[in-house]
Amino acid sequence: MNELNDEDLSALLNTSAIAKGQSNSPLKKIKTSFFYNMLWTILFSCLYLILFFVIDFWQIKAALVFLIVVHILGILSAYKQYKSINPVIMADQSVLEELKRQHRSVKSWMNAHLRSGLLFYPVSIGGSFLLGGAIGSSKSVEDFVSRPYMLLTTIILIIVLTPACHFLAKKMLRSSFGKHLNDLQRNIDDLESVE
Amino acid sequence: MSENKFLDLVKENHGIIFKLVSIYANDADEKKDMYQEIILNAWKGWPAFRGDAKFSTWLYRISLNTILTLKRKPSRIDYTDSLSDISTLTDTFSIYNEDVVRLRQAIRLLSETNRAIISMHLDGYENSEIAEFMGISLNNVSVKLHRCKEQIGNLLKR
Repeated sequence: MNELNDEDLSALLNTSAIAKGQSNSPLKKIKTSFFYNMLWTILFSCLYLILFFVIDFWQIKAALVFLIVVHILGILSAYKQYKSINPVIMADQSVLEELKRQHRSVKSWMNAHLRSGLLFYPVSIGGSFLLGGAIGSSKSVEDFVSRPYMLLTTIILIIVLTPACHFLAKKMLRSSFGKHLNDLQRNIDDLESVE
Repeated sequence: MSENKFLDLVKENHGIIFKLVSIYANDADEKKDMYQEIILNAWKGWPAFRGDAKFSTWLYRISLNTILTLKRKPSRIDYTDSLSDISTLTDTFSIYNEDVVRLRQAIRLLSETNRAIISMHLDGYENSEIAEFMGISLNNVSVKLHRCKEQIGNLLKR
């Protein structure tokens, strides 16, 4: 079980091992994930910009402009959060303060992620359906939407899929960080409770 | 302060990390991960260490803050009231004194925050220092310590 003895651990204490060490801190992982999110968002914004000039349908162009604006806002907000996350463990803070700081950071990242999704999902669901439909039927978006029930179908898709995507995102975040958040909260409650 | 000075100080205070890791880690992998994370955090925090506090206290704080905020694997220890249930988890502590092993086993059955409190108490920290360290009131520390001692006493009697 604990077959690793103190000598084995001591062997890990050398500058080259420390220099190569990768932190497993959740905040460090979140910070890295923010970085890659920003990178992907920039790439997708460029793709949307290219599509904007390639596609002729004004409705899709409008959706793309909206998406680009949402992406830019997303990048700015992600950058702000990225800068505010400090994965270094504070030696000048009490255990309780540090637990609360980490809990707050993880929670606010999860909320920001879910909030931006609520803006993003309806536009991307509606836009994708209209674009796919227009291209598939070789018609303009206006003609495609004017077909019976297409507008209604688009609205129903947005109504059904937006909460579904939100729910899935929530579930994925919970499976990644739910236990960690619960552990932090349990320790906070434990410390704050006067037995 | 230099890299060598840091390594020397950590080596001198290795016992703090070993002990804390031993009462929190559930297996050898977690023990190694915790140890590495503590050393990494201590190394990152080293430039900010001004020597106002003792290095051992500073390292204690870094170690505890790291352990309690690390994303943990699901614990294989269920909080039970019997030491025999966890005897297999702690079969190779570095100190083989049976009483010490039993005491550590009992400490491992406490909640995570109570383990920190009792561990500091056993290391000779004053209640006021523990209160400041943990960020709770002095009265709360006294009450928690009393409960921990009671719980450990009951466990050791079995």
